Amino acid sequence: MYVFKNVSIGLILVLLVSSTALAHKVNVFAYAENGMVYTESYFSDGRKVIDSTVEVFDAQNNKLLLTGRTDKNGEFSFKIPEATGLRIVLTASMGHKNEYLLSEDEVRDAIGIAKLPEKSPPEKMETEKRQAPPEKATQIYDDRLELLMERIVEEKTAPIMKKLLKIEERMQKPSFQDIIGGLGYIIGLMGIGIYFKYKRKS
Amino acid sequence: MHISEGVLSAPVLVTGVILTAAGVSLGLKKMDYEKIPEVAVLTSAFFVASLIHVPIGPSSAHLVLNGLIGLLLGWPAFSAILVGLSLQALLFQFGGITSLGVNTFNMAFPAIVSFYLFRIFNRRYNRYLLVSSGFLCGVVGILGSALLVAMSLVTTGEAFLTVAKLIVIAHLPVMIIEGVITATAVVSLNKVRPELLTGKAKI
Repeated sequence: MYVFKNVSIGLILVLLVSSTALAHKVNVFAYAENGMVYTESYFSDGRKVIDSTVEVFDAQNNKLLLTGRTDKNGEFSFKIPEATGLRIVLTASMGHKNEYLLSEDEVRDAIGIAKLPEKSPPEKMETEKRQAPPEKATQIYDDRLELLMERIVEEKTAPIMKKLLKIEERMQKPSFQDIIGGLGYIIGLMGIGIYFKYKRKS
Repeated sequence: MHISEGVLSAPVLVTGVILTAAGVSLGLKKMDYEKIPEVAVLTSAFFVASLIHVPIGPSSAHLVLNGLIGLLLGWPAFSAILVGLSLQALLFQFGGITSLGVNTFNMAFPAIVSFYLFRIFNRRYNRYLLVSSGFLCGVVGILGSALLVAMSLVTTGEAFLTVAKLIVIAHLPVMIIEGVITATAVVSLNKVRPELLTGKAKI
């Protein structure tokens, strides 16, 4: 049993080391903003995925909309081609591949055509009731205000979006529980193996 | 080393599954009662080894330990690697469920190769022979896997030489580190439990 003691000490050391060093899998993340879609790609150890193919598909009918390559920061951005959900597929070298689904709402919000028509009618009614300044002027004023506000909100929320992406990225990494769970499965399988191979000595 | 979901075509995936199934069934047959705990320990080692990534070289790569596993286990290495890879796919999302067959074969076959190549040297004849065969065993495991991954990717339309070069160069540091790890493991096992190396493990 001496060997197993040695090996298990080794395994524990490995577990301690592995919390900082993580391995090989490719991740792609995307967010839409101001009519553009920004994508970021990492290997799961945090290295950027450089010069790899990104393909953008229509999420509904799987039509290829555009392709591109990641730059030296692992980023790739493009103008929103259509107001639909987008499936962004990253193919890195050596058989690594992953995808990210950008929902239709997110894309529509970024183009700015989502809620405009719904919002304006009640505002108009209000101005009509008050019969204050000429309608046309308020309309232009409202539109500009809305655009301005949208831009400000987007600017203010950009850091939050980045942070959310980071969190999402962290969730993709193997956790300590995953590792312990996996080792537990292996011990369980060993038990099953021993159970079935065990021959009762008479 | 882990090929992701949706990269390979169906014929390659099916071939991988068939080869792996053959290897695993042979491995299960050769796995006797005394061997099971050893297989489990090495499966655990394989499972966590993929979390240790080697930050040297042009691309990020991680430890595989398939040379060591093959050398110590022989054919049961197939079962060990299949279990390890399944858990990695389910818990870490490394590789994929459909590419499990291909990935297992890519890592387990070089393990078997190093088993047959270096087993003979593992008697306690010569310390230097033991160290160098252990080192080569680690190298052969990684090199073989890299070449098999390149071969699997050829069917997706990538040129064999380009991919093979890329993968082998990316794994050069890993090869050396695995060589050192395997050599160290073999030498220390030779001291404390020589019967693990010569095949007749009795616990």
